[in-house]
Amino acid sequence: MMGSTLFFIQRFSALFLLGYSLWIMTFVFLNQPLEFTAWQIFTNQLEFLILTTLVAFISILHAYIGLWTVGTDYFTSRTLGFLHPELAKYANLIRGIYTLIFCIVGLLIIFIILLTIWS
Amino acid sequence: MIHINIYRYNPEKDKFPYMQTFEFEKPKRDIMVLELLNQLKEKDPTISYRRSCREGVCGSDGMNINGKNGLACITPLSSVVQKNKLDLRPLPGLPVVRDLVVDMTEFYAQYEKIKPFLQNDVPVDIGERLQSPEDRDKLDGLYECILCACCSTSCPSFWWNPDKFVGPAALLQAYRFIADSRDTKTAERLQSLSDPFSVYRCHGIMNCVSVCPKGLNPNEAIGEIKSMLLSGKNKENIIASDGMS
Ligand code: SF4
Ligand code: SF4
Ligand code: FES
Repeated sequence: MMGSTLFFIQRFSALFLLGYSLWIMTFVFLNQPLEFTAWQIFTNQLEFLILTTLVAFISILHAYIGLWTVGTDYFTSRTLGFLHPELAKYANLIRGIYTLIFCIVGLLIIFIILLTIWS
Repeated sequence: MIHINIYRYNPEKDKFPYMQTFEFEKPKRDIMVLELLNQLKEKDPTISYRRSCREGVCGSDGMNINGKNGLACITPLSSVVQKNKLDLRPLPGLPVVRDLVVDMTEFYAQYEKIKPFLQNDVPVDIGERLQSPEDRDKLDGLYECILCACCSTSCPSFWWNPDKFVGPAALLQAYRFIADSRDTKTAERLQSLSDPFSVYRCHGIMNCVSVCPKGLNPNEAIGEIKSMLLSGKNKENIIASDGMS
């Protein structure tokens, strides 16, 4: 069951991000030459603030699943052991540090996006 | 002369594996890679490899031939020798027992996991379970697998997680029973594959399809399993494919 859930999250989040990108690009494309005031009005509307907030969380969720897949492929005792048998012993630690780093970076990105658009 | 480089490793003697080069007179008629190995083994009886049927039926002589997995007994020398050079290595990703012989335990463990036998709780009343020709057609392209492991050992997802990802060979067999009209355990079979690793670790890279010496298409079977898991589709929706890729 979990496999299908992750599959759907990945696909639907990707579609959402695609839709959001197209929306922004359409705005830029239809408002040429782009003036700062037009951009400011666009980015101050509630739709933009809500959708961008959603994008911040959804893109981090999307990235988390992708990076978790990468971590469980490459930072395992088997895969690291191919490089060096000693490394295999520290696989869980290495994967833990890797996960911690991308969690911190993810939270930081969410914080920066929210701070930028809501302040 | 052809330079044949063979992966050599005898864990009782060698600290590390190494490649040994043999010079081989270009044969007048085309021969199979297995025949070449047999001739080399007459000169050096320590070269180890598995073989049995020598006609692509038993699946025992799967190996990595010039970088691509295949069966030595049905691979003509002329189709693989490049610039008078040929590299023979064991199937990648599995522990090497000796030279070209690998330990297939993990491969068979995955095969065992998918319960490769017909399961049906309904008692048989006429001595055998009948199947319509249309339902039988749905098994074409699935039942022909000889479990040579060429596909699973060419799949990066299987290299990284051979204990968790079922791998193309066993998934093809899982689908062979899912698609069988006489098997009644479809829901249980799908349930056992629904975690994030068993089937979802397949990213559709298709190495499995490009190496299968029987021309089968594990990726298509994997796709069917995934869409059954995702859509709740059942057996009745399965349509016979053209069998071979
Ligand atoms: S298609 Fe899937 S099973 Fe086949 S080689 Fe690629 S990842 Fe492996
Ligand atoms: S699907 Fe093809 S390559 Fe894979 S084990 Fe079966 S016969 Fe061999
Ligand atoms: S020896 Fe049997 S498949 Fe090659």
